Amino acid sequence: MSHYEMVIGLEVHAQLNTNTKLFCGCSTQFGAAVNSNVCPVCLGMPGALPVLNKDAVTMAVQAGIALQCDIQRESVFARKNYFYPDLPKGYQISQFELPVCLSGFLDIDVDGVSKRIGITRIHMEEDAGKLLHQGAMGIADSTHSLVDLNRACTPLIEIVSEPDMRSAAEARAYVETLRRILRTIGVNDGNLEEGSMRVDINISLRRPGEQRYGTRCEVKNVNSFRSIDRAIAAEFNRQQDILESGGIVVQQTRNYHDDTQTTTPLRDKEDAHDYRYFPEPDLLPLILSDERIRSIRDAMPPLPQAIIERYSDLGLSRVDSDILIEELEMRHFFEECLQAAGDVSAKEICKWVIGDLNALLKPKGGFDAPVIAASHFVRLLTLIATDKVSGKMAKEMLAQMIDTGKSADDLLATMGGGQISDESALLDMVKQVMAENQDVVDKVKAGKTASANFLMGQVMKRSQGKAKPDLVMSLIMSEIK
Amino acid sequence: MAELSIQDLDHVIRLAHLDIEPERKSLYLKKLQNVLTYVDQLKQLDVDDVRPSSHALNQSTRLRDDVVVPQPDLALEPNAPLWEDHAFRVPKILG
Amino acid sequence: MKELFVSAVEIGKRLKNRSLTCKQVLDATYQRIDAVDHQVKAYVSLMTESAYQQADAVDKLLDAGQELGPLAGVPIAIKDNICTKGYRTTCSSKMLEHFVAPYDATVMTKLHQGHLISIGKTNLDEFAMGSSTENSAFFTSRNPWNLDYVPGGSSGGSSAAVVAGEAFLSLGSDTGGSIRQPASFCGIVGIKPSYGRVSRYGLVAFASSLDQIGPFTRTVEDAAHILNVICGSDPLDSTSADLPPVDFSSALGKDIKGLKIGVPREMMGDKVALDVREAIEKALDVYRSLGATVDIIDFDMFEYAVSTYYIIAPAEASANLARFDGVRYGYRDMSAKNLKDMFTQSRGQGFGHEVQRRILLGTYVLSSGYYDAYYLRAQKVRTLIKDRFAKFFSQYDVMITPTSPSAAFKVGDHASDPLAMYLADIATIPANMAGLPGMSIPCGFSKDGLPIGLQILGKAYDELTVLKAGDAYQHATQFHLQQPAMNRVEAI
Repeated sequence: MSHYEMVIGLEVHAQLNTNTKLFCGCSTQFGAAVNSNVCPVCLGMPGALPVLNKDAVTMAVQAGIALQCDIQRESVFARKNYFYPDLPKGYQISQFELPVCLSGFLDIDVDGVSKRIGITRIHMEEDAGKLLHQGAMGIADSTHSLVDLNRACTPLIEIVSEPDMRSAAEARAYVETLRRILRTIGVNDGNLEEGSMRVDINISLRRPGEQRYGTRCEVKNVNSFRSIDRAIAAEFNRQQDILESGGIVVQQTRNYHDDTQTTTPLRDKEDAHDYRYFPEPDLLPLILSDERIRSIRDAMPPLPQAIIERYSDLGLSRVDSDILIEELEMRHFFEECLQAAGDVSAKEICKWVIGDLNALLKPKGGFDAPVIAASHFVRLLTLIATDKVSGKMAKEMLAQMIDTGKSADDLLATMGGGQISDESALLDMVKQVMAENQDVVDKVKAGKTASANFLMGQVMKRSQGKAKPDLVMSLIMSEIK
Repeated sequence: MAELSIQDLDHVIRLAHLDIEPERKSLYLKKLQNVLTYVDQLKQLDVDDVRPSSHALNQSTRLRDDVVVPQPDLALEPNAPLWEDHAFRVPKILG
Repeated sequence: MKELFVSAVEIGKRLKNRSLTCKQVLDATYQRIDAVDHQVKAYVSLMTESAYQQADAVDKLLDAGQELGPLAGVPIAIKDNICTKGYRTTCSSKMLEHFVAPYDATVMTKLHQGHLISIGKTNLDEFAMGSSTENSAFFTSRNPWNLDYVPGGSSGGSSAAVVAGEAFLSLGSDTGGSIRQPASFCGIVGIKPSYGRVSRYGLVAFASSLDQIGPFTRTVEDAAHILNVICGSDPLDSTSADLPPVDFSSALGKDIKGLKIGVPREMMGDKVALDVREAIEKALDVYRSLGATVDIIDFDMFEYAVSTYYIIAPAEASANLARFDGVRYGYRDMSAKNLKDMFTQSRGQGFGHEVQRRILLGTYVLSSGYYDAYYLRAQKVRTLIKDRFAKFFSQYDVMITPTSPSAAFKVGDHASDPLAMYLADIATIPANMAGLPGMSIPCGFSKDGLPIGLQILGKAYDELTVLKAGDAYQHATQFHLQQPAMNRVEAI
């Protein structure tokens, strides 16, 4: 049992899903050839000037709304000055004293206990380029580095939490919840491994009950959920050891290494703390009118909580709702189906989308650009709902619809009609089968009810699988009586 | 206002990433001290209730549509001091 | 060719009526450069190939009878801190000595659209920091009125080129007076438009909140026409003013009866050389004779403006020049063994002393512990300066001052005392601080025979009144028609 409690605050950098960079018209498309998505502005050429991306502003404001922040009517960009090869201008355009959002929160759930984590601020800033270290695995022994500026000037929002978390589980829950919200509103794709979302952990220790905060260290290079747990554990242990042996924790920035599960101090760029912030003279203040904020709010996609409530009303399970929230493209398809739903229940659509359709689409590119139209799919489900086809038939038809692109009705025509649910037609078949299999009928009468399945099998065969199974069974049983 | 010391100057030289010969440093120190002494006259003004001016203009910052603008060839290689694999090569960062 | 010394509008007329072709004028201009530039040293490089291409294109349009603007086909020189695609843009610094700009500044595109012919890049004080071109890493430009004297700075090359017949007009940039002061030293017209009138996209930044591009011309009439070409809102410059276009030539040939002129007492005192004061007094008499009223008033902000400038400008410059790190372009010390050395040695060798000093000063006033006392305080005083001007302009139409406390000085005279050099900008700095339009026009000669300039300041975006006042003076006087001795042989 530790003598110390941990105090954790998180700084999350999230890349915004815009088409172009924050201050220039270069594409933000991932995977472009080295130094191909660049221009005088993001290269920091002499004479180039920044112009703010309208959609980046919209997304930053949406993030602020989703996180219950006060959207600032006037915010100001500032220069953060330091030298590094991936920083073309020798300064980063960020926001300092007057960020775009202040004072929000999000609610996390850890083992059934809900907790509110404060959000201090959200500000906009440009990303730096990439350094590819050559001659060794990492920066330490490299002989030289190559600078790729494709990523330079990508729009980021930095979300700073209050130091409200007290455990790795809470930190993890915060990141999961934040990620889900940002993904759901379409602002960020939450990919920790690829770096579209980056988490820096600020952690300090203090005695339980102590009001003051201890000295904190910042831990960087945390690129997965598992790393969040491990990095916090590693840093907690390190600081605990220092304090218990009577030492003092030195404020510093540390790098987390997943292979050794330790943190080491980042070689401090001397005087790196003096960023000499001042208002960016190449940009004017960002003024947001009440009207603009309202229209952004009105146009926002629904938040996870709202989606869960709505799906619950539609009869979906919590588990299914969570899947749909996580799988954005699947959910878009699902929503399209709901619009065309008609007689089909949301629950039914959901079952098929998450189950059979998902399995069939996986090898064909999934829901990204689905090879079946939502309207065709819903038509198929409608045929089931109106007893025109059986569930079993529908499964086979679905596979064929995906392969051939045919509509359900066209397919049904080539198959020679759908499910037979006409009682009188089925009764004829049942009577015929019973007449041909008197011995089985007798067995059933004698109490071996399981033998009725044989009779049903015969009816199904005679109907080429189209007879409605439960109807057949009830007709058999009533005839035998 | 405290006088600019040689340590202050060294600190600022480090921040500005300039390599300056020792002989020039003392000359710079004197000249900078002269300017700082001169600009100290601003202390004579009462600015307590004054808002700082970053700009002459009173408009909100211009916004750009989120549409890709294709770039013509930027001739990066001829201007690059050291170009390797279509990237800017720099010496080792540590050591 | 004697036509080398006429106004841009005048040569434009002769090109239009085809008494001269663009090629002929261009040939004559380059010949003049060949003949005199080894003495004047206005140019860093020439844009011969594209100039002849443009001349050819414009000749074809004019031959076909196309209606082009009044400055079509006129050769113009460009200060070498303005990006010209495919041509060196050096800022007169070792740091960019071999840098070829990969794109055109917006202003270059506008010149091209106006069918002017950009002929070469002119010398400046390194990165526009200085008042004489003595801080150029390459050479010092000379004043065509007397080659032992400086042409002023930082746009000294652009100014000298126009006086010496090496271009009909030119572009410079003005952060604390770098157009107006050289115009005054060289006896020509120089105007710094209001902040935001001309796009800064492609102007290598010195102090972003103060820099403006502007023209050097022989007459106020020319200035009005070139402003029509280069002014305008630019989607690539967030600080460019969102204003409807103005026809600046509508200010020409106007009556200035009732024009209210205010003259700050502190700019007519013993800070200013006697011959300069006398020339200004005579000019004010001319204004009175034209029906304007002249009041001497207390303004009291000029010295404070100098202090504010020497905090804000270096601060912004220290950040603007951080991009020169040897990584992507410009000078790199290839012998550096590690990154840190590469940064510090490249910058230490690539930048001259004045640039280094200003970067250090700027870094200091932004640094932790000093930001409030210096930078923040200076930005507040800047508000006071703007308010003071607003108060002035609620009562007056224009302010008139000497452009500079003295006429041009000899090369080497000010080198030892940068502070004295800084104070030479006292009359011009306030306009940059407040974003106002300011123009210098010639109004006399010093006892040594060097030109004296008169500065006209207007309300923000009121270039029309400034031009009107300047034009009226030029109709009533002949100073702008005077030529230095080195021109007189040609001008016959």
